[in-house]
Amino acid sequence: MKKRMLTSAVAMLTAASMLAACGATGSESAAETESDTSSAATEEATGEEAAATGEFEPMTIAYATNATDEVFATMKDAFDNVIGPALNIEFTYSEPLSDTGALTTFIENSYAAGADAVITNLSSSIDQAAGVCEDLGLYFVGISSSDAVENADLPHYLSVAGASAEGYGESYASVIKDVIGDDGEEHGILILSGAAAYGATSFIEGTAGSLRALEEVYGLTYTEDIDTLATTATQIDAENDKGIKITIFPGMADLATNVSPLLQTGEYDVVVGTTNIYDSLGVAVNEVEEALDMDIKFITRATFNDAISAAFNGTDSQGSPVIDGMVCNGTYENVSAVIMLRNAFDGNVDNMRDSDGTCSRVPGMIPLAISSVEDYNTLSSADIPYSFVTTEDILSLCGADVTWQDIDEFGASLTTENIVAKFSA
Amino acid sequence: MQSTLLKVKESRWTSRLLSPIILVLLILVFAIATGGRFSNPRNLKMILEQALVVGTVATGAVFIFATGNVNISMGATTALVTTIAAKAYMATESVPVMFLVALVAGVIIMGLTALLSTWLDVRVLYVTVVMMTLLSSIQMSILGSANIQLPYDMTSGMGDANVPLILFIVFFIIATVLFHFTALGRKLRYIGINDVCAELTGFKRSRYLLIAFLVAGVGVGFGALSTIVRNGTITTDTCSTLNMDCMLAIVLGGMSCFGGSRSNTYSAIVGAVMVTVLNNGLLMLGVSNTILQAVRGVVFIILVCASQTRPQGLPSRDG
Repeated sequence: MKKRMLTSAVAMLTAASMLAACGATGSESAAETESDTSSAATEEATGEEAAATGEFEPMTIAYATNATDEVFATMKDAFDNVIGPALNIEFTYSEPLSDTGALTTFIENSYAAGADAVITNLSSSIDQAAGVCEDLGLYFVGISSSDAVENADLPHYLSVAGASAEGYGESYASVIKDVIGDDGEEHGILILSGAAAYGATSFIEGTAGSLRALEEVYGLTYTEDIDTLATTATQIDAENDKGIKITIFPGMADLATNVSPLLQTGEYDVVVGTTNIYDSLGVAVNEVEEALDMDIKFITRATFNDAISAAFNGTDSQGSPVIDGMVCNGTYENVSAVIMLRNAFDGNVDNMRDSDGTCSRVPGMIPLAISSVEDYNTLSSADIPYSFVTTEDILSLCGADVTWQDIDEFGASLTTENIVAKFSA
Repeated sequence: MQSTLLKVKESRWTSRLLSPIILVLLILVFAIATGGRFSNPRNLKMILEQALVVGTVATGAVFIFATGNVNISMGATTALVTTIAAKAYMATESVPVMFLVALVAGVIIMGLTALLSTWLDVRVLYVTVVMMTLLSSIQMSILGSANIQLPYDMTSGMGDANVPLILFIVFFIIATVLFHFTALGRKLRYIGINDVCAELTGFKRSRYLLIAFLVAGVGVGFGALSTIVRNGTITTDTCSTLNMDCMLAIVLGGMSCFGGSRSNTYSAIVGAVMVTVLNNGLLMLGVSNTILQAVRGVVFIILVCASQTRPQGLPSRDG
């Protein structure tokens, strides 16, 4: 009896939750409208922009994300409050998706809810997602560091945007050269290759780029192929003719526990992370520096946030910066995806695709290589727009004459040097 | 009047039909709230397709749940079988070989899990906790540093031919006949009600547990094939939420977590469709995914609580 009553209660709850949801939608819409209005009033609402906004037909883009972390939150804020109002686009977002099945379901449900286009950063599934979007008639841009393998000829598959894997390699090489390249000392280097062993291309290239930079700095030759070293599934020493101690440690789980014993040997005074290792290893490195009275140079992949700002601006027990160098993921890929979808929706599909009838490849902005606190502070300033792209820049990239090459070239111009020059002026 | 209501409340059919009725009501409410967009045949077809993988695997899992046991390695098993079958396809480019490998691998892995539980005399839950980790690491070893991307022509062709739907229907019919119209189903439910009593009656628990796992293994094999068709790309994250989805589907479908007489094969698909209907309908109404997750979580918790009490009694022919 009780059980049946409970089941009836569940039925009522389900119905009530739906009604509550309906109510929430209304109020959310009202709140959004209000927010948009105030946003439009406070955000660079020049007459020119208002006129431009009025020219765009309303459209909805569904963004399928693989994580809802701080980077996502920053992007969502920019999309909802700046880019969306400027381009008359409404965005919907997925919960964190982990596999293609969940991505397909989100795309189908978004289509049912009225979406016009889809973006996803679930890089392992973009070609399959393009196929699903084609079936549903939705324009699609995938975000990945790799090129499209399949379905590139599908008409609604506009582009693959995202810093190329080689871009990560270049950025790591640049930071390593800046941090250790000119001190003339011999270092022991520990490279944490993260998910490279599982085929994550940006990790592979980050590791390979670091190895190439060391090859150049020391003029050494490895006894094994660099790609083999970069994708190792077990800890390995990258043996070389100069006898420089270079160790590659794969994996991302429990780094503090697994890597601390290596650091405590005192053999390593440079740690390079192809993922964000500051959160998991920052304390451990500091403890080893104190215990062994040595300075460990710390290079990590990270994004701008309060913890990284404090680390970049702070000093360790040896009086050196806590973080010596950083590779920051590009975010222009998200902006470029939105711009391409806007242009395609407005009828400029052909210019967003390659002239050979396949989807375009927009590597755009390469990850930022930052090795000075001045550069970091300029780039992370609160006044700087999302992805270092102003609303005027975005509007200038929308139009019938704009091609994907224009969008790509704009992204390529977003180097650390150029951004610092532009926004510190 | 009061006695009639009491009769209705206590009728077996009330508990059996409650979940399907809630499902129909949900569909009607969403259809009205979205001005008919929800009940568009294309949308309904998409909803059904979204539920097929979970529905197929969970239908097999009903046989295990019915005995009062919980297998939490269904997702890891399906992921491994999916990987093995995909590898087999890439090596041979033969769809029949892929089908055969999926079925055989599903049955073997599930059979091994059952045997480990009965040989070592360890509860199924504990064995499957270990198996989940073991199978995941095997899958990662097989995949190595690369994902498996199956040819889009093959997966989309099988999708267009409604292969997942056909696999589900075939398996559902076989499972329903076995579970509701043979002595096997009654015995499994009896073990779920009281395994000691069932053992004393002469129904050897280990034997029927093995059979339940083998049938579930067929479901895993079919589910793996449907996963291949739907996903196209196999990664270490493939089927990562399947285990939770299966349990959610079974409980939402009106079946008790503890098995026994309230076990039904249709619970799995009813629950799986209910989840996709909730997702699809709420998204159509503009509800954000954050709220959607919360609604799903609350419903799941309440239904688990509602199914805590097990009816006492012996199994009858109609359950």
